[in-house]
Amino acid sequence: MRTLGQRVVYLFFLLPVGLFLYFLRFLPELLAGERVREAWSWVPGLGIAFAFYLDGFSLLFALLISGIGAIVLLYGASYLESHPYQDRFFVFILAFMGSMLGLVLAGDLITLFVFWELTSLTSFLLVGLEHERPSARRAALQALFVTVFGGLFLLGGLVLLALAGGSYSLEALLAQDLTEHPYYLPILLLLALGAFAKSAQFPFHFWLPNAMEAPTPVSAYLHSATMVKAGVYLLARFHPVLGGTEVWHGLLTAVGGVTMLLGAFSALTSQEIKRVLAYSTVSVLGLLTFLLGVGSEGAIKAMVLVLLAHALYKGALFLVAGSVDHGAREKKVENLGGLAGAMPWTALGGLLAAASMVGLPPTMGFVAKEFLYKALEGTLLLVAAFLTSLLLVGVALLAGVKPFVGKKPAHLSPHESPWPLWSGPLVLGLAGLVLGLGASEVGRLLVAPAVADVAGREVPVRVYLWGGLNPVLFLSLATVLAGVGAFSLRGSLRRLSLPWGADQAYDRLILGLERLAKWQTTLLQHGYVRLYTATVLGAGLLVTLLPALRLPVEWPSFGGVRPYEALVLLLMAVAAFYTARSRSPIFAVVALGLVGYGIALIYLFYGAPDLAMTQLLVETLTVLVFAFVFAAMPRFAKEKTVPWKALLGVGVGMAVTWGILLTSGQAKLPPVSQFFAEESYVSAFGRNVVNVILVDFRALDTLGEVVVLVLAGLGAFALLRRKNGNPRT
Amino acid sequence: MMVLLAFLVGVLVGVGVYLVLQGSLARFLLGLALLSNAANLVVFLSPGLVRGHSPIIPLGAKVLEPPYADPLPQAMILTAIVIGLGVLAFAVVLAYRVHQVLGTDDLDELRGTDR
Repeated sequence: MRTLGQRVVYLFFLLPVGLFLYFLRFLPELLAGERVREAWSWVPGLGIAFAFYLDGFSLLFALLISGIGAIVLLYGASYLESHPYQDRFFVFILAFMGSMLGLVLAGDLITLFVFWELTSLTSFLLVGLEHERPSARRAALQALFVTVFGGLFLLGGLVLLALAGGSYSLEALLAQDLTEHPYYLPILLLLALGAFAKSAQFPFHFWLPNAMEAPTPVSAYLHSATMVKAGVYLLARFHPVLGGTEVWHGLLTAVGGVTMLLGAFSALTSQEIKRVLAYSTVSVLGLLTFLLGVGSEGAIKAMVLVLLAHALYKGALFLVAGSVDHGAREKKVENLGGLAGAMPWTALGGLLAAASMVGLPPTMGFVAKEFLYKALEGTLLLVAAFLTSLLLVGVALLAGVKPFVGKKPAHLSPHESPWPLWSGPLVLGLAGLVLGLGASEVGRLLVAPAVADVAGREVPVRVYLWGGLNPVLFLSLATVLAGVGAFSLRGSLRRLSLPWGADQAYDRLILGLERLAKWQTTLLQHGYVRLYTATVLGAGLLVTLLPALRLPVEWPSFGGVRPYEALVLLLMAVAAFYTARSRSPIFAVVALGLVGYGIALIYLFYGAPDLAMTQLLVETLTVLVFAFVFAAMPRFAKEKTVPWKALLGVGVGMAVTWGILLTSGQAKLPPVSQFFAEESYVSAFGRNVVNVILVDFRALDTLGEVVVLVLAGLGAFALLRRKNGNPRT
Repeated sequence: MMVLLAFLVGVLVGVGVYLVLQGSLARFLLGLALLSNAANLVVFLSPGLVRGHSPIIPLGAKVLEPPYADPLPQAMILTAIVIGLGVLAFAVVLAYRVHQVLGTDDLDELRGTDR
């Protein structure tokens, strides 16, 4: 099976290829303004459906997910060959692919949420694939905690959104503008929190670099091209519904802006090649959020272009990093260099991807940068975008160019990786080039429909590769030059980096949570049975007595009290108190018996001779059993009356009294007793109705009762038969 | 009379709870006995009180004519009394063995015998 599996996995990539072609078939339909819908009834009572909805923006994502998915699966088959968990990898990554497609195609808020959480779960499994390493486990848990924490807020936001919009259907919501709704602010904040956690926006950015513990194909797929974009997808998806306000603008540009600068800076100052790439992904995610915050038509165009360009070049660079690791066995970016000779194909893929990331014409990255600058032209925000871009140029040189050029360090003995490892990045790199060359077609087929869906209206889109000699072009040129400068100054920049950050804060938080859990567990799980009893009784009292006191009580009349009956009751009450106060076990038992006999009398007065008889017999037996045991026991220790125990007793007693007064004789249904009264003699030939119920109508229950009694007797017998000393003998 | 009985049950439950919360195993058992008796009374009072009319069909009659004390709770209580005895007898013997083997009646000292 295993040897067969080794070969079969090379064919898995055909599945996403098929999906890619399948999704591509919808393109003409979508271009004609149609939408694709599928829905199954799920929770009709709440208006929730298992529904899917495909428009231009979802299609862009679906194509990226299936297209890059195909490359990653082929790459993974080779990269993880002879890896002990290769089988799991394929299970998890295919499950992830399904979840991610479900997420971007969801046409219902709850459907979307379920797939959202599934991507978090599969990401957890993939990051923790090599679970023997503690660092992998920590990273997996951290990614899970952060994204699921965000997911909780997302759920709240989605439910509020459905309440505000009156529907869980995405399509129904997209037709509305809820910015004036009173729920608007909570909805926006909750959704944004969910999206920020998922897309690693500041201050949740720390989990993404740590998630690099995952095998490289996972990083390339989940943590650059697809899953981390889910947050951006969510914000963009609801831009027509929630966008355009001051809060939206302020929140997204601020968080996105901080994230993109922080990410780009951390990327350039990191040492390990995958962390460099992870931070640069954080940075680009910040840029996307930032552009959504700006929200102008130009910004949305730029967002879609950056999204597309980034998915291609970043996916490629991750795969290149994996190939370099495979061929040269080195992860530290400063130790790499001069590999182009030994690894020509990998180098070609890496250089093409880096060219797109730097923004050299005629790549897709160049087009994206032109539109980015054009969208922000004349605003102060351009400065932030420029700074980010120049740092990212430095990152591109660091991760995509430096390993292949210059002098080869002596300790490296590189060789070219097998073809699945270099073909993937090469295809992605070439795609960046081809899409850039065909920019106008890409704009018409892919970008225009997506922009229209994010903007919520038709937007004229004309994407071009060459915009002429204008200020934007010179700014692009300046970015590249400044980026080269940043690249060469990275050593000095590293000294500026902070010694601690959000990752440490996360550790503190987890430690604090553990302490809190331990503290409250030892507080609540103390091991004293009677304190548990007291807790249960006290809590029960609070939840029942307080509301019950507000109910109107019809006081049954005091009439019909006969003096001798009252005397019996008084005696019983006194005996009960004596049981509690007596220090002599025998006297206490006698008092207990007195209470029992009193109860027998009550049964007798009120038409229950059978009960009276049984109670009398049983009480006698009880007293005897108690007396037999208590005779061997010392006098009770003197116990102080603990006020809270007495108070709890009084409270529970009062609650029971109150309950009886509220409920006695208040049966709302016709009593079943009437059946017994009529049928007892006719059907069962017995005149004592109680007896007939026990031995005829409910005879099986009585059999059960007998069994219980026998078992109790056997248990007691077995206990008594044992001799003193070790209970095990 | 119902009012008085309701208060009596309240007293029995109150004392029972107080005893159950004590540290001594023997007094815990006394409380348990009181509580089970009180519970039976609650069931007995639930349909209301009918004085002196047992649910027994007189000779010559074929059906039970009202007024009669409700036979259904009585049948349930009869079962409960007997089960109560079984539980109590077992618990008392258990307490006896605990006292015999471990030499203590204090519930708090019974912690962690499984270590």
